[in-house]
Amino acid sequence: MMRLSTLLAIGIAIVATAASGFAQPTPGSETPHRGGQVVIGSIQEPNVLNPLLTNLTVSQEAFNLVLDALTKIDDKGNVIPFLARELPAVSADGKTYTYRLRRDVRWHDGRPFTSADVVFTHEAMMDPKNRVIGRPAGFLNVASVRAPDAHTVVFNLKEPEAPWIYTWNGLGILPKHVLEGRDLNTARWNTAPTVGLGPFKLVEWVSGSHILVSRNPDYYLGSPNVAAIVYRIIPDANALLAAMEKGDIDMRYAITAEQVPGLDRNPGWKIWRTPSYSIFHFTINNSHPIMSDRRVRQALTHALDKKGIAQTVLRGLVEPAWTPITSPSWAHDPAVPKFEYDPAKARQLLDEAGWRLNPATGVREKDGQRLAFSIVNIAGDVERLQIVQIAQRQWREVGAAVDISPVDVGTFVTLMRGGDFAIGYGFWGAGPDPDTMLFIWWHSKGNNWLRLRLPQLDALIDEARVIQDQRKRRDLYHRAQKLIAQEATNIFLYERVFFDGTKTRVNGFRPVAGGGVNTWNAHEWWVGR
Amino acid sequence: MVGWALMHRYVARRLLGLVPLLFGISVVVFGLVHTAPGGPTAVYALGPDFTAQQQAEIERSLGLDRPLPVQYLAWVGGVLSGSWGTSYKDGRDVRVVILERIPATLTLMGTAYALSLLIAVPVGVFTATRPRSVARYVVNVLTLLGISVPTFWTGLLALMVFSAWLGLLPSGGMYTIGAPFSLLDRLRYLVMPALVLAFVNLAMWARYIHSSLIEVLQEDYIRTARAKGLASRVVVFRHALSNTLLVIVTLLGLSLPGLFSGALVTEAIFSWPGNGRLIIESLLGRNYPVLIADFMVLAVLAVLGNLAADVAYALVDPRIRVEARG
Repeated sequence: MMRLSTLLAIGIAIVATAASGFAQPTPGSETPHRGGQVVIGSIQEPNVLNPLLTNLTVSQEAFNLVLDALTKIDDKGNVIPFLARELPAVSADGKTYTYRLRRDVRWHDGRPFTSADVVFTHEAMMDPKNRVIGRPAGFLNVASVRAPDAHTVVFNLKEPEAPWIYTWNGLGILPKHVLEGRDLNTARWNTAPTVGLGPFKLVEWVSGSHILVSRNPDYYLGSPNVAAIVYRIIPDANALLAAMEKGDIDMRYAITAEQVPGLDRNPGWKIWRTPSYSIFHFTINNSHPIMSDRRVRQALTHALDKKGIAQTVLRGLVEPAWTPITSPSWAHDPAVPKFEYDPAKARQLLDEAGWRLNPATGVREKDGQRLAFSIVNIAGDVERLQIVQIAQRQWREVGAAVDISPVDVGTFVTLMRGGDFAIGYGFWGAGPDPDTMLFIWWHSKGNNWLRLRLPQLDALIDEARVIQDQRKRRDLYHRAQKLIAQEATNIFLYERVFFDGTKTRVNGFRPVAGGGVNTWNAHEWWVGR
Repeated sequence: MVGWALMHRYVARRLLGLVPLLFGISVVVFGLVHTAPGGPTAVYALGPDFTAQQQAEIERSLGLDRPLPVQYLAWVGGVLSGSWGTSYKDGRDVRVVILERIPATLTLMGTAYALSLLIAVPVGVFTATRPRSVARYVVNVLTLLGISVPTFWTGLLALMVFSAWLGLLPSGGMYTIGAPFSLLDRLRYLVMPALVLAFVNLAMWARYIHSSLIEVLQEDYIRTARAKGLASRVVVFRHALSNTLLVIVTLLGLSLPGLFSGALVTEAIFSWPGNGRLIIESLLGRNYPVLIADFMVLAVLAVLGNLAADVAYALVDPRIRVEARG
């Protein structure tokens, strides 16, 4: 039996702990504190910090600290100038974009930043010798680039393109004086960009461990508040959670739905919810013998309980989606046709399409062919597998013989590109302009995984792409979305939502609109004492 | 000693035998690595702007569009001229990529092995000399646990208890980032992963030592020693234990590649920047040059470890003699 004195001692200790908890000064005073460091915890490690050679979000998060871009997107979704003095001037015909650059910017080695660096970055992007991965589509539309003076860059486009303004957005500029004449594929700078333009300077990148940056006191927007940022690699999700519990991590981006509720209850953490421009959905091969019938695609949509999936697998953290242009976008159309969960309606549509139920097997048949197909799914993610299994069960209930074929990412993409599939599950990412989503995925000149033949849709996307008036564009995109929903070209499931966590002592964090690269304003962050 | 000349010839013959062996291993490794589905550009393939054409250009630029035998010969040619190629992930020299992971891995694995050995020997002796004691059953249960409980579980448990809840030890990594070098600091980071790894090895090794000692203790010369009236301690430690050296030597020899390959799971849980994680990442990213080079290094070490154990047998045990042939 425990002695009374021991019990008393424990009691006193508990009271003391509680009291000290209350005595803590509350963070969030108005004047930013200068100093301290912020530790970002990440499961994945960047590959390189050269923006041309990567399209990984983790790399973009890290290079945004040490490099800088002409413009970036803020937390409201606005394009705001950084290295550019103001937003580019666009000519009346929409084919000339003129950037005026700041004159007070220096590379970390003291050399001035000029238009030559921007032109060099453009040329490196287009050089076939370079193994370019992160090339925005807008680069292919450039007819010529020139730098009339040291602080002006003019881009002439082949065709007018309203979303072209996003081409240079968030794209780190390369130092011409460091990289000119070197093999960009193997340059040391790619993993050691000690010469950058960003608010922080690279101190060290210890492979497999961390990236350490310290503030650049000469940053043109003012010396950053925090003295250092550590980008720490913790490859195991549970170990990362333990590190967060211990208090070793100040920020973590893209937290999984599974871990959100626990962290949300933790008073030391604030969870930021950011709806994105990306969408989880079932990609349908619209030329597939079974799927080419619109009624089948609509029936499969009716048969799927999106709300149920959102409530169970995704813990009520997301909303069902009906259109590819997601709710944060100015072009989002909430009034598209919706084929709500209704298995009876699904059976009726399949009957109409000539797929009759064979009572012996429970599977529908038409002209001796079974209503049988498989869902291609990228293996390794529990959440995705659960969703695909629910779809499998619900589609079986209306008389389809469905199986799941798990593949790796490379095989998945090969199947999608080659059209050798019926239905695939995944998400499509897009930029803030609705054109990126619609042109890449729905236009017959885009990636065309859907194998669509809808000239009417192509025409709408083409028209909206070249005009600058946002109201007119919105009308066109609303018509395009209604057409996509009516045709049931895909089965949309939910809009991707990013959950980012920051410790309550961190101030000034503003997750970027649409989610993704959250380090865009790291120079404004500060930590409470 | 007559044995030395024979020994030299024996080692030379074994080393010569390495050449065809490594050649065979390289063919198998190269073939297996390249036939795995996906490719080095697959990680980027989901990016909307990354087109099939761009992907094909990069694969051509890396030489991956050539027939596999041609690629293999190009790789052999490179290795023979001293070039292991560059990492697909970041364009760095493969040798640098692998070598920078070795100190971390050696530190962790070396410590874990040393701890295992230091604990396994007394534990093995203890259980072998007290076959029916309660303590022996306790040790038996513990060693069984060590063998059967996976490190991702013990590792996470240790992390939750000693780091997240008690706050006694850091939550992974190798040292305090940004702080000057301090041995104490390094030890604080090393202790958990090393113990978690040691727990597995120690359990296995203690069992080997235990059974080998049991066997030796039944030999005639031990009975003779006891009959002479020698103290039990002397019998066990001087006469019996030296004979279990063979087992220890074998275990150490077989552990040589492990010293460099690192621990895939434990390194991930304790975010230890070792070679085990490099192998996993290179495997997932289909980083062929790094993967193949790393596997080749480990193959050489495995062969050398076996050879070293064989040689050590002859040195340790006068009953074993190497022969030049056969």
